[in-house]
Amino acid sequence: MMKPVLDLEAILNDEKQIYEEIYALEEKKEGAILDRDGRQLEKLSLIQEKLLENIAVLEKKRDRVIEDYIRVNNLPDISGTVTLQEMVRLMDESASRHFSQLGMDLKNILRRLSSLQHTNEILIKDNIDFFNMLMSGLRNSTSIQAGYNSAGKENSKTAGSLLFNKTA
Amino acid sequence: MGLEIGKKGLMSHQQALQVTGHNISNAENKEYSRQRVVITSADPLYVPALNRANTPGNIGQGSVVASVERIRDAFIDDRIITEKNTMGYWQTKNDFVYQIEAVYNEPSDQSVRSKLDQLWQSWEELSKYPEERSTREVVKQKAVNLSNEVNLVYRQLYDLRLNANRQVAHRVDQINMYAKDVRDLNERILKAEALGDNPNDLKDRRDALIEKLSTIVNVSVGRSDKDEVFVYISGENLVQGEIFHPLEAKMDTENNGMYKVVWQESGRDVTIKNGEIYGLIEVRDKILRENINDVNSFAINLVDMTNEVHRDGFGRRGETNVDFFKHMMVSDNTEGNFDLNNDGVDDVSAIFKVAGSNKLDASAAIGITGTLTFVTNDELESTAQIDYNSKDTVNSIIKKINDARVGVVAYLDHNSQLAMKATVAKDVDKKNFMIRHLEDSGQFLVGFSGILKQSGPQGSFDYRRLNDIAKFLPSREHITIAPKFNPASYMQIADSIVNDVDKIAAAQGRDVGGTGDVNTGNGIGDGSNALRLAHLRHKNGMVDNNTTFNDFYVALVSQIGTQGEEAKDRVKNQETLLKNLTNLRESVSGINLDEEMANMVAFQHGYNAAARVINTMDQMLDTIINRMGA
Repeated sequence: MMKPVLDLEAILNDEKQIYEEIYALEEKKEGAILDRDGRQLEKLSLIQEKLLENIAVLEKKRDRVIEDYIRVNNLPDISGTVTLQEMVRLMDESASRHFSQLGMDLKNILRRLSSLQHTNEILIKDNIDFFNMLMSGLRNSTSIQAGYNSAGKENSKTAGSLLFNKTA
Repeated sequence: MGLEIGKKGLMSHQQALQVTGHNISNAENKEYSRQRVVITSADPLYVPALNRANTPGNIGQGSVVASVERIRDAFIDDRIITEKNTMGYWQTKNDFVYQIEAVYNEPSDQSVRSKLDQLWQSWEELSKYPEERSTREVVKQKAVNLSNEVNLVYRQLYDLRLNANRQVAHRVDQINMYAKDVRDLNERILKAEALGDNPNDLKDRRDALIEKLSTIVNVSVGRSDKDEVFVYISGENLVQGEIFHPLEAKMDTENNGMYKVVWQESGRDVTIKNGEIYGLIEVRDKILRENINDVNSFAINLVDMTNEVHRDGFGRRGETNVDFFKHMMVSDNTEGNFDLNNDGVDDVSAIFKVAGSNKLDASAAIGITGTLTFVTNDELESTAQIDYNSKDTVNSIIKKINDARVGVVAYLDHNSQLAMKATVAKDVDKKNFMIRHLEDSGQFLVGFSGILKQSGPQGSFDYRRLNDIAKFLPSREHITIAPKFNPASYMQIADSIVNDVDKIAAAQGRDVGGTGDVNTGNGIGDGSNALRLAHLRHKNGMVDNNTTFNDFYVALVSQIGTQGEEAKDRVKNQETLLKNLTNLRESVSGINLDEEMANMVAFQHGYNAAARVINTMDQMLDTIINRMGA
């Protein structure tokens, strides 16, 4: 295989590996949300941020390799925004199969990551909504008529939260 | 009065203990919500009169049980309903996709792919030893094995589709059953509340039923009325207090008699957007339909491509123009006229493929201009036009046609003649593999390639006209009538080959007499036609997808694999969401046995203390009555 193709393969493999790491961290984040462990969540997010910076570097490298590929193969018809699919079409059978598989793996991990991130977002939102409701329930106390005192007057008295008096 | 206060204390604490006991005995009941007794002070004695006793304050009357409350949160309930909707959808999809994966049975020695590989190898072997009967027998046997496997895959996919359809009807029955129960509970709850009771347990049962409904179909709950709940499906009332609007599973003639879900009273379609039933409908009408059509497409193209090459070859005794696979026509006449709408009268010309009479150079400029007109193979049947000019090559026009996705694909066959064939229909399965319209304003399809006799609308082929096969220029042997529905279900070798393997056309033949056509067999030692058949393996036989048969099948299997992966992920994610919401609900409505035990002790103490009050009062009375005075 040509050098740009080999470089591209290495970049895609690196990207795949980093996304797999990000996915594993996202799974840990899910556990942290369920355990209500904010510190752990923050720690994991920082590691993810660092990995995403690496991805950005690889993306730039990938653009350069694709430009090389276009130049080496003298493909003036193909624009600078050539997709992996377009490149695969120009490769020989075994290379195209290999790259298609690599592309599919990458797509697959991205899809799984996106789905898990969406789930984690909902988890966080559910918990925040619940605790907001809990807090507002604790703040909004009610008053009830509470008997009598020695002066014979009924006093209003603050009772517990509304939250636990709610009926569906 | 003191005795009455003591009695009220006893009664309040007794009831509180009963409620605590009820909570404890339902500790493992997932549908149960914690209940709590609200004890308040009884109305005090206060006489608004000037001559009342000059004592301070009102006189307290002890305690009463104001209510037994159910501790439940509608916010969490609504979130659970939403997520159970989605869970039902993905769970159903996951279950079916798993079964579809099992049908394809990949990777294994018994899969279609491995049997297809074996067939290609047997053709190659035959090309080396065409004179041997044993190699012919092997080709026959491998083709039989492949056909049987394709038949089996079709049958299993179709059975799954029927199963999904049956389940749609079953789910409709379940929805009706649960909705009717919700209606009945609404009625009982309303009656109980009218009597001043708090029917907490009935409300729990109603909530549990709504949750069960939400797994099946996208329901939302209206709680604006404090006594009754409303249950909606896409904004329409399923249960409206004490009124229940039932659903019905009705056979849809426009969808192969599959069930559609309608409102029983109005007959209108129910808008289903989520839940198990949505998953079932999607699996049935999209995933399984596409898979069945892909397997059909694989079968008909393999049959057609093989027959195309096989017919041009020669058997051991010089037999030619023999089909290798059986081609079963949808029409019972050679014109391809067919009764599509089942009214007893033929109404369409059902043509699958036509190959032009002229040999073409794929890469030379054609030197003519014109516009090709097609009709799209969807419900709209709109016109699609493709222009060509003198600089175009046959290859570039073929690419334009195939990229346009108009239900007709073009390719150069093994004789370098332009062939056009129909693909799977986008609208109804009955119209699969039927060319809808072919028209050329110029000469490309006419004089150049020799497909149509005449240019312009008057020379066009249109499937909606009877006997339109006459518009084609080539002889009938170059025109293929559309196959009978679901070609994968009956794919098999031609009877003539089964009965006599010598008819397998391994030889390519030669042109005797300079007719320009291969017209005579080359003897039993010629295996070049078998080699051409073996090379079909590397040809993009699935023209519509621009892939080889093997790659098409691999892509089909891998697509279902990806769908399975996604469904599995989504089920896992939904389980996490529901676990979190269930935990939140448990924190509000769940039974904490420690807390209940503490309550029990407190209420028991209260009860004992109230008994002590009665005892003390009794002693006081005893003092007044028996010990004062004398």
